[in-house]
Amino acid sequence: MKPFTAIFWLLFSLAANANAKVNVVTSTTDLASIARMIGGDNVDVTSIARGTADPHFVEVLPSYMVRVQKAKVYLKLGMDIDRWAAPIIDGSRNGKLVVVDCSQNIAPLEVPTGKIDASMGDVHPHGNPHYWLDPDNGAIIASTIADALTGVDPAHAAAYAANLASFKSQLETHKAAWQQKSEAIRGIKIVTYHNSWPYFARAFGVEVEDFVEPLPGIEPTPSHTAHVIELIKTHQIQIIGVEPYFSMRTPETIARESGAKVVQLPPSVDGAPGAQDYFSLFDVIIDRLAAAR
Amino acid sequence: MHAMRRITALHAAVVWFGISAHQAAAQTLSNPDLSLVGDFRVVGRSQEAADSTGERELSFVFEELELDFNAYLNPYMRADVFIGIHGTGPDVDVEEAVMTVLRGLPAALQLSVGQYLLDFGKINTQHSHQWSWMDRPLMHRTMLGDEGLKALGARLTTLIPIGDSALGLSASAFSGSAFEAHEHAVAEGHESNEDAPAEIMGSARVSVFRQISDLWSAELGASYLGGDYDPTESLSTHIAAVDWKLRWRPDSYRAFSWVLETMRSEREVASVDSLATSIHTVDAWGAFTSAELQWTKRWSAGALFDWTQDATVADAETTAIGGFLDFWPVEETARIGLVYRHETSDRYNFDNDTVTLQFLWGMGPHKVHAF
Ligand SMILES: [Zn+2]
Repeated sequence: MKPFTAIFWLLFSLAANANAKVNVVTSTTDLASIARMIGGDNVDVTSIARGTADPHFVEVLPSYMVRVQKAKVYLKLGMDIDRWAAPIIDGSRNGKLVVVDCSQNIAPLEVPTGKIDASMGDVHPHGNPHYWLDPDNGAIIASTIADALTGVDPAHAAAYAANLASFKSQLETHKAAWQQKSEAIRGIKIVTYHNSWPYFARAFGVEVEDFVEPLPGIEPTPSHTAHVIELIKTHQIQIIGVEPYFSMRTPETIARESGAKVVQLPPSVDGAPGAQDYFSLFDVIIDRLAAAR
Repeated sequence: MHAMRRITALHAAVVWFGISAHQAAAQTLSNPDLSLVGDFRVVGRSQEAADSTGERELSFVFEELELDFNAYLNPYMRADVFIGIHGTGPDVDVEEAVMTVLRGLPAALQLSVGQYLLDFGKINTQHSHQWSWMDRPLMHRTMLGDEGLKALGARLTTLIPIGDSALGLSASAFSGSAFEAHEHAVAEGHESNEDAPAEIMGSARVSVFRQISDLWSAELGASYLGGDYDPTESLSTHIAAVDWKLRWRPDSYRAFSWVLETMRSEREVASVDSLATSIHTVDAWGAFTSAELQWTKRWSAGALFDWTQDATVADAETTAIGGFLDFWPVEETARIGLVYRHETSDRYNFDNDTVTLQFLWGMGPHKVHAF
């Protein structure tokens, strides 16, 4: 009898734990950060991808599957960037999981027209998926998450609504501060490694002139690198922004040849020291760009 | 017989898709994901027999064109079909044609029905183009079959969380005809009754996957399969395997992985002497290991050790060692591989050196990176 009693108590306490908070798993740290602010004490949130990892490529591990098996909600980025989430979700065998595509209400940029294929590199058919880097899209993501949490946990609907309102008002305060701070970078021309920044650029008036990658997802080539060096010289571009998961080698070569400065720009929460949540992420990006001018 | 089964299976796959295409039209669903993998090789081999006669040959090999169809059938199920076309001839082979119930079953079970690569050990579940070492391990060829073990049957799997680790359990029941190729190899002139239904065999695998840190992960697995593989003579086989994989993935530029698999086979074999057929048991061990390091986005290199005792002939061993180099010219859709392999066997009296240059490409939806 004794072992059975032990197992019963173990299962019971696990079940009780699972009921205490809504278990949320997200594809990336940015969604996790927003989900924590909306969910507050009523949720337990973890992200599959690390903040310093490339969100396009995440290995499908059984440990992720068991994490999703215990979850109630999965928040994915969508727009084809986290295709790896599908085999993780399938592998979890979780029939009650609510899967929420956080891109569902945003207005995408760079939606390709006409036929796309691999000769254009790793182009995303539904548009550029780095949409969380516009703070206005952060508000849309927050609303989507609040709806999802309310759906699975209606008992705390009022708390989620209050947290959403508070998130939005905090975001407005931050936006005012960012707009002021970003005066220093308004109108600057930059080159970035990958096309991760069109939403950020639109929000803060930065002009992204070209990319270290010749095409999305394609490793730098000597001819394209030479072209970028020329472009930096003729347009007097000062900054080469590099996401933390790319090699510094080619950007540093370009910097040496052109006189521009290499700056590591974290596109995600936890991608750099100080970028510990969705709000401070923008502070770090703006500060790093401003400091490099 | 073998070709016959293949064609029947292919026919089944075509009919299956006929049905799903019909339903797709009715439900205005999109087409299944379609991927193609091409594997073309240039093989140079120098062979030396003990009587010191040797030969050298260079050949172009169309190793495989693989057609993959994958689609969800509904929110609970998906179907995956992998068809291999070998050479330019009519040698078509259904590698997998399987329907899986992904969710909705109790105890986090998944049910697969159809033909699938049996999860016996780790390597048998992979398609050959996933291996940088290119050649199927020797112990697989003698114990499981020249093309590995494709089970025609049904499988239940589950995944149980133990803290952050994952305990995987899997059990299969499948047709013993998967072993018929051996039977022919074993007993020359021993005619099998083609119309006799094959025996049902069983297999099970237990595995523990653990993420040691953000960068390191490891999996340890143990598998068993057994049963009568020949209905006429009621010959039995029992095989056990232990597999291990260690992986390090610090960023998208670098990776290290080490796989180790060892197997023990116990098989009843019929031998035909002039008039009488006698049955005896052959015990065999085998081991395969390979380690591979990717040090930049485009290059990786590794080494392999491959050894086995023959599953059907007592006291016969084959050993191979080798090294390999992989180069991705642009991204993961195209790979050039080079393998050097030295293979020897005293019993079979050969000493081979093989150099293979492989051109591998894949079109269609990007493959995700599974552990
Ligand atoms: Zn991208």
